[in-house]
Amino acid sequence: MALLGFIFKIFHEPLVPVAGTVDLAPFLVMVSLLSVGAVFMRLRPAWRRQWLRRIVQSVGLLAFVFGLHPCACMVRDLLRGGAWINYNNVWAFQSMMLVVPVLAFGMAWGRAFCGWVCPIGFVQELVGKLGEPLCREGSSRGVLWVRFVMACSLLLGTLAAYAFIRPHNEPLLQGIPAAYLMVLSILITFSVADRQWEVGLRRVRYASLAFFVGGTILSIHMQAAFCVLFTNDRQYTMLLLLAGVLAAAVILSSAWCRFLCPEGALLSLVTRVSGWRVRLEPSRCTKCNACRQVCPTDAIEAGHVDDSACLACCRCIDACPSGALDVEEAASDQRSSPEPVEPAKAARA
Amino acid sequence: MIKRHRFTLACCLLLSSASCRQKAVPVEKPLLAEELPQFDQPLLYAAWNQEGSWPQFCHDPLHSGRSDVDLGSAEMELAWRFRPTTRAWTYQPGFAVWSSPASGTIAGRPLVVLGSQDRNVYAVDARTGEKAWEFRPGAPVFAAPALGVVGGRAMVFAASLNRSIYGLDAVDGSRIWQCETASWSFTAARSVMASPTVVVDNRGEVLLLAGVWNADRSATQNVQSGECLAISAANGEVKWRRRLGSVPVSSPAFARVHGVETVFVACGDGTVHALALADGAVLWTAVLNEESHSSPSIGLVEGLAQVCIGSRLNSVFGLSASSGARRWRAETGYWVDATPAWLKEPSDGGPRAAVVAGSYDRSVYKWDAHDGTLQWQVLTGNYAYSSCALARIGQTPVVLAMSWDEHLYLFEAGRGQMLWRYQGGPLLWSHAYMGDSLWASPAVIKAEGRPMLLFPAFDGVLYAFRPIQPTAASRSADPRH
Repeated sequence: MALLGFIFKIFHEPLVPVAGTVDLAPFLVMVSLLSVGAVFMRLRPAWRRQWLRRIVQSVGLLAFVFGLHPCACMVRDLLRGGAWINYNNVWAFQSMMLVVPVLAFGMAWGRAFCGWVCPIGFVQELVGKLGEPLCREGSSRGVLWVRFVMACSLLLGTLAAYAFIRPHNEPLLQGIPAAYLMVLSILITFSVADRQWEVGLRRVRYASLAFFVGGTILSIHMQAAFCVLFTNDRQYTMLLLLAGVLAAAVILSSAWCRFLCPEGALLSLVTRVSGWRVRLEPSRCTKCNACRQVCPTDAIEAGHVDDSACLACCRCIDACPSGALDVEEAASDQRSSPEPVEPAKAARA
Repeated sequence: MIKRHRFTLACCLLLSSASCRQKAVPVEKPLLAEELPQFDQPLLYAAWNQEGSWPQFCHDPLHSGRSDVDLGSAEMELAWRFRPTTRAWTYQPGFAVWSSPASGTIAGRPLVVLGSQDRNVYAVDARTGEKAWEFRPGAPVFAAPALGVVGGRAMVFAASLNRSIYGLDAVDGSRIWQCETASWSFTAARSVMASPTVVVDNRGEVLLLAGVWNADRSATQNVQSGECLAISAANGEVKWRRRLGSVPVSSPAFARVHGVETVFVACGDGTVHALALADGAVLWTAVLNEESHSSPSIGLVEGLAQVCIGSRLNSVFGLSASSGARRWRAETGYWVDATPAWLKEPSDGGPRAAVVAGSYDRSVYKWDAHDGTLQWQVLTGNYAYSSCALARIGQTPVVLAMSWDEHLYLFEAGRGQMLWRYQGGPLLWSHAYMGDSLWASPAVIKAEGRPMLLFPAFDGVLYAFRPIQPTAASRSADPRH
């Protein structure tokens, strides 16, 4: 109960007020962080790029979680903000001031928001460090069993917790975060059981996006893991989802971003028209699999970078000893080779 | 050492100074002696001042939410239920099931008047729960109706989403006048109507104060206008209208401050305005920290008038009623859409003012009205969205609050101890968009001398409860007496 009364936001006044009390600060912070990320992505040589990325992510975390009060549910904001244009322009502006720059940068840099700014992604990365020993490629069968049991436990734990906190009314409002966590647990279980299903399971995020869009159009208040951090909204089931997403990141790195994040799915669609993407130069590739080892979403498979899954975090680029990977213009797609990189066989065991 | 960490220190200083930023409050002169009674008799400037009535949203023009009804007991029995229809119209964002109720005795018959999602205004006999009359404006009525006596005639004023405010005969519900606040067009959108407030000005004229928001989505003649209107209650003529912004406007509150009849109204963009009742001139404007869906309420703190209002940045504010200067800000865990109610508690140094409001963080809060110090916080099962109603049991003040967990709660105001609660049925609709609607609030009335609680519930039923009067033996055994 003490948790419900805990207020973790620092600022309680609009820093850059416009139109009454609409705070322009989240917009300015978002544009600044995305711009810095875009510059660092193109850095050559990539001097301490991952270190700089951590700083950008930390600033994003401090600004959006501990500092400001933005509503950053981009899918909902896009739909509702769009519907308010020419009807209530103040609310339309307030709703869309974060989603518009994220989508605009997405058209240039793909899911740069996910890899460089998103606080949920950053927190998952931090928590995922705990699970790195378990998630390494070539782990023994025993380790795989441990992860499988953890994934099953997450599902059972979710069911038990939801049975305990289940609200007796508003099942749609409060049941959605719990349903998300149950689906996430099932997806993780399958992914851990056989990694070959990973590519297919990733497509579930489009269903998640469709579900989110459909619900919003039907006037259902769709909520997901990020509402707790961004707006202080502490529904019990949302807190459960946030805890579950962090637990899932230990079992499978960036599990929420891979399978269910509706914002990520929206940016995945935008990535199809993005100007710059991570590309692999086959002639330079030594098939060392260093890129696969560090990719948080397993977006590199068989010599091909899955743009829709790539978070543009550039960890693969910085890990590649032969410089075969880089951020390049989308026009240079033809250089990408379908030649498979030999995956570690143990990972498929 | 300091040199090494000067950047970190500078950041910490910057953050702490930003979070602690507060404006100095100028010294104020106290209210005039003749202005003090309005806080003891909140219906003094209302156009309806029967004892035990609840003539408008939050009881009175101050929005104090405080009824002087003595419930006598915390044990309640269901007196009646009123369910006008089983039909639930399709939910749309902004819809609620009921408006907040108003109540008074009209032609010897105690009536409860409230609007419904089924596009009707109902008057219900408070003795039996039977429908006395209904009025069909053609669009839902989510603004609490208001009662007033105009030229010896009892009237009901109702604001509907069809951009109109109606003056009705309170005896039979027939329409006396209709005031269209914006003209119809093919591109006109549904308006947002705040609960009207009825006051008597210093010339004895009854005025209806209304907060309306109209929109026309036309690309060429686009309208997005939040206004405060003063309307003659006798004939519906608009005396003045003041545009306050492009977003919805709250229910206006009214008080006399330093000889000026002042209307206090908040705008959805987080601004609070004080307007002169005479001509709508803006006396001052204060800016909160976020958008506000709450309405201002006014109370007396150490001889000074103070405005309290909630915001969507997890705050309740205490503002000076004469200048708008911020006196204090109290924190909650989430939005405060409720209108803060003003509690007067007996203390050694005379009555002491406190403010009570529910928050979307599930809690009902009580703060000291002097400095915003938290006195208690009690958790309900879900969003505590409603504006609280205050009454008393003997000399003990009690708080009535509704929560999204479908319950009506009765708390003892001193420590926040729950005395009684009742669960209504589930929401009419399968879902509702959180934060788009202002849901109904409870009321405390007296019907034929007997106290009664009104609970406009989510399930489309208006519940009325009567206290079970304790026997002499049980009264002596009860430590509260």
